Amino acid sequence: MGRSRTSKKVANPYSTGGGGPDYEDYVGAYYLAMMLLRAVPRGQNIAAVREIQFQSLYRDEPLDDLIVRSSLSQGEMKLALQIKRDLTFGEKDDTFDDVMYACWVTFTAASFVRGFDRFGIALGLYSKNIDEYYKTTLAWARTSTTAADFFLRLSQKGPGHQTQRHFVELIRKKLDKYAGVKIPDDDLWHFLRAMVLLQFDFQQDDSRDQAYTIDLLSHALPPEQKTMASDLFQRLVAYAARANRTGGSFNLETLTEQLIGDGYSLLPAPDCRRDLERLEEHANFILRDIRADIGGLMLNRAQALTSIQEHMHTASLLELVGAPGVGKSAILKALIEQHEGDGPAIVLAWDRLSGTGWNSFAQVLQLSQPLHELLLAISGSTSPRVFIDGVDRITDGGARKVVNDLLRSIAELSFVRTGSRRWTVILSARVENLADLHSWLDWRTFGQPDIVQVDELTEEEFHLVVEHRSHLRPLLFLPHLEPIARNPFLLRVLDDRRMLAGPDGFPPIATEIEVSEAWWERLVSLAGGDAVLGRARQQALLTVGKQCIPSPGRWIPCEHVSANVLLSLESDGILLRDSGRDVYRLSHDVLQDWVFYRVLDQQREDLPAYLQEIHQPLGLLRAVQLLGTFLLERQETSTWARLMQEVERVASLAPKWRQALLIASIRSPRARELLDQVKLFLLQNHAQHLIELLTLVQTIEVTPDYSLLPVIEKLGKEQGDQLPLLLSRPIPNWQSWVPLVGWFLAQTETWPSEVRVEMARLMELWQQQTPYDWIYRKELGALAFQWLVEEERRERDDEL
Amino acid sequence: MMNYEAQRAYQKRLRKVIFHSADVLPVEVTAYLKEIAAHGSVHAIEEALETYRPLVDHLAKDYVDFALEMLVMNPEEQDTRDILRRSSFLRSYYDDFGIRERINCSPPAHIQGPFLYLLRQNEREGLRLVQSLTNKAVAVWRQREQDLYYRPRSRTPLPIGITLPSGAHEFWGDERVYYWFRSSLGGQAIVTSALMALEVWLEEQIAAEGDPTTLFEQVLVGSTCVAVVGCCLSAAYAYPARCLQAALPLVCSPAVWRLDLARAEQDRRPPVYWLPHDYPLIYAARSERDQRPYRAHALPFLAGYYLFADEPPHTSFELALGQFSENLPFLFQEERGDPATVTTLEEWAEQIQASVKRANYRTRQMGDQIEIQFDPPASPPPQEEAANPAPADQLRWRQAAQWAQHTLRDGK
Repeated sequence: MGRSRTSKKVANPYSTGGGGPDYEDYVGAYYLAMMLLRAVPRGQNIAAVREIQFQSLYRDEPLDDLIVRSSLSQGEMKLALQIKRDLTFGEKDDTFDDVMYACWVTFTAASFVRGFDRFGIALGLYSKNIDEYYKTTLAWARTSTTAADFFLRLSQKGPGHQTQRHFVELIRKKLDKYAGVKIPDDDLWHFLRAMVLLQFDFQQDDSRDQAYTIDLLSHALPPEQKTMASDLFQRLVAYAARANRTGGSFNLETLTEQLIGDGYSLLPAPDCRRDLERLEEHANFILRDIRADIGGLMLNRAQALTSIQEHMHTASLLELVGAPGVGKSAILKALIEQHEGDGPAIVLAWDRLSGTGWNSFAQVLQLSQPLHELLLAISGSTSPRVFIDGVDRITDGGARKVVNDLLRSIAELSFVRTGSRRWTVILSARVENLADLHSWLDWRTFGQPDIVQVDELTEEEFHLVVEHRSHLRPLLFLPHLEPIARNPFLLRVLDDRRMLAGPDGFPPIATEIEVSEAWWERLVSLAGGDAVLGRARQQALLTVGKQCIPSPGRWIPCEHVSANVLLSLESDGILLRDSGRDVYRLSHDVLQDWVFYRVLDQQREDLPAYLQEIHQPLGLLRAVQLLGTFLLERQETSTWARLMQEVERVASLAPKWRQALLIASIRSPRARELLDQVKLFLLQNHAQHLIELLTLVQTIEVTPDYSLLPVIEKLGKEQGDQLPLLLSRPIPNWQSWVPLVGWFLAQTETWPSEVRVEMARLMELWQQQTPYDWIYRKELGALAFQWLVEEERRERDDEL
Repeated sequence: MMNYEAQRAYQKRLRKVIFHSADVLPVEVTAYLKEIAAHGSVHAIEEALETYRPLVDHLAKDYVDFALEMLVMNPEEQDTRDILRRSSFLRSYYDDFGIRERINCSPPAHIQGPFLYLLRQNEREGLRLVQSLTNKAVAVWRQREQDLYYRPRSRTPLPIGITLPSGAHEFWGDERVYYWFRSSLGGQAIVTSALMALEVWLEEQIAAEGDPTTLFEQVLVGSTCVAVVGCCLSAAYAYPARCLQAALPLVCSPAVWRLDLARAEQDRRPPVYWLPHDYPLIYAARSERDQRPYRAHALPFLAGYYLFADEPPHTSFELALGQFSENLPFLFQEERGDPATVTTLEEWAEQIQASVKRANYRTRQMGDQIEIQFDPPASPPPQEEAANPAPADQLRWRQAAQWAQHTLRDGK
């Protein structure tokens, strides 16, 4: 060891603590409370605290303030913490140097088990750098598969990345100094993986951590003693203070005995470890399904994450919304990984929910403890969280009940008496499904949902991908690809070298439909390769699609598909396999939509009958819309019109199918061309379809305006009555509105007067919701003048 | 073929689109406002007045010109030889204080109408609108008080002189007019809403570190309606220490004392909210303001701040207070000749002079500030009721209103 420093002296434990209760006494009391509740404390994964040791330098623990020993099913883990009200992370700061040296000695001790044990610092003062950048760096280290992967992520450009690099360099310098040699990247990576930075605000007058801990402790007391939770907490602070002075320790038995001796009646806390492990395993399955890289490059999506984290400070219910393929799930995955250092979370996904409510879902997962106890067991983290991926695609009534049971149980626990909130629920959903989602999701108990738009890749991120994947460089010079190249999912599809199989490099693509066709014809069919296997792959996907289509998202057995085809599709990341059950599904919901529309296209001769046969599943709407867009982009306008008419004619079919086909014309970067194609059809029968399209745009292609919620709540409206009011002046989805309005304005002279009433509605919303001086405002204003003059003239003529 | 309702809705939408295009078609929208002012239907006029946000944002002056033209009645326009038509017009002209209710401000509240938004976005135009409407209303009030046709027992209002830093100014009105900034009982909802908005705006400006003296001057100089004085005093109750200098000219006026004590008496009664279930948001906003602690204050409270203040406001105030007996607050010429009223006002002035003394205030140190509380002597209460009798008809009306309110609330 090349560091000349005097080792930390073992002091009489009496002299290491102060007089009255101090900050470290409160942190100690928190860990005692978590042990009493058998809850997962901060800095640990699923583990029940077995023993807590205070001031342990004399036990040869260099990080001596607090040692938390916990039992896992795989063995025992140790968390060693130094507790500091404040700490400057600086090269020349002596205190920081002492703490890092203690961390290094802990890390290199023979007894330290990499992958299990952890060490770190509990801090009092909040620091933006620590909260947003240093903790993220540690999360990246934990979630990277190799040191190389970690350092590649760290090297990316992005907001805050410079701060993260400085942090790692600071640690590296320190470790090099302590080791006396330049330590390998691998050691540094392992060091960062084991390190935790925890924040406790006990030193603040209105400490949230104190309020939350007291609230949690109330669950350990019988009903008649609930009001004594605050006393109980103070008693734990006193125990911790005494242990800090004496270098004492507690296990669950000694702590319980002392509390009973002091007159507390305690309710036994169940051991939830097995259940939490099962929930963690379930979460891992979900996370493994989510692909977050493009050609192996992990994009940090730093801009999007920074924006989301700002919302997370205040939101109880956060909805990440965006277009298909934009990377909502990948961002959700990044948030889950970031949270991991703080404690376990509940992670659910739309395609892995079953049952008729939480209890039956719990049976599927073989959970034995009631939901309330599970929630309590993970309530110890700074902000316990639930993540639900693709919540809008949950169409099954039972699965919806699973989600609502969970939300209602959280709502009961989420708010402490001080009025602050504890839990945060984070959902990902497609923007177009938001209104439908809010019609069944019990969001009201969380107040106004905080909606964060997940945008496509930034210019910088796009360039990073292209730099990293040199064969994508031509994308930079193909402006027609602009609408799709910023979509991470479509970019990942384009990244496959087989997409370049043709003689001309990139195929002439500019829309999602065209990417999906190229994917089908080049990648799935193995163009230029094994044609027989390629055809078998296409057939296999159609078979899988047909099996899944009545219940989108379902995992299915694939006995009728040959193993080599399944392996081939699996190795290309097109199919996912749940090895435990030997069932399959398509790896991404966008791929599922692409296969579904092909299945529907096979049924184009009698689409209404097929939709009825498969019981009109809700999750098929986008596939029907894609079928419509596919037909229109391929100039098969007459087929599209025929399908429209057939679907209209069958009274037992829900209107949503007709609407999905109709809206297909504006869901394409070529919307204006497609609208021109269908113009004659739209104008038939007094422009009835054009009028319907204008109405649909105002009802489907919009997001409720949640800024109205406080006003609506004052009106005392029930949740069911709130949505129509929130939609009374909705926020348009500009991607659809802009081309439609542009197309309409380009040929104003050709529209029959029948469309004016509906168009006036749309114009009103446009002028109200767009910022001043925005596109088409002037033209729409001028059109309103013209129509009003004509209307008044007509009125005068009628009077005459 | 559209039915009438659909046709109306369609036209209304087109007009909204037009008004919302003020940013991109300002010339055309201004011309359109002029056109509907000259030839437009009542619907078109009301829609223009109600769609005020884009118009205020881009054409504030044109909007206020338009609003004043549409809201303020002009008796000359109705100059007709038909005596019946002329008297019918005059009746409604007096009833409505010369203001057309073309913006629905009922029930009145600070959030009704364009006033608060206009004041926040463009204070010059906002003040012009509020002052023009209140000045018009009080001018018509003066007329009708003296018109034997309208009021068989006519009265001649007297001006209330207040010496502002810029010079002497005259305001008009009695207890009812003064109360317009609290309730529309006996006034116009639109005028009351404008005054309520003015009161909120004044508080906001002072809260945002605006200079109260400049603000009061700005608001009062262009006004003739005594209710505007009430708005300023109300803001002073919210920020007494900061408004000491600004409110001095007001608290030195015995007429303002007479009016504000009547206001305080009225405020002590529970507010009347008509059809509360129909206007929950408006009444929630009103109630939130009604429950603010400083709403319970009256001039004796503010007087304490002057009694314990540093020299200049202290002496000026004591000097003015000492002259209350010589400067009795007559509101009508007829009161001067009525011995009973003269005696009542003399006693009233003496009681105020007797009770507004340092001995009748308790002070308490609150941090770095002193809290001052008025603790009147236990002697017979000042004869406010005698000087400010609630008119019998108003009392009956209020009782009926409260009965109706309880009945509606209880569902009986």
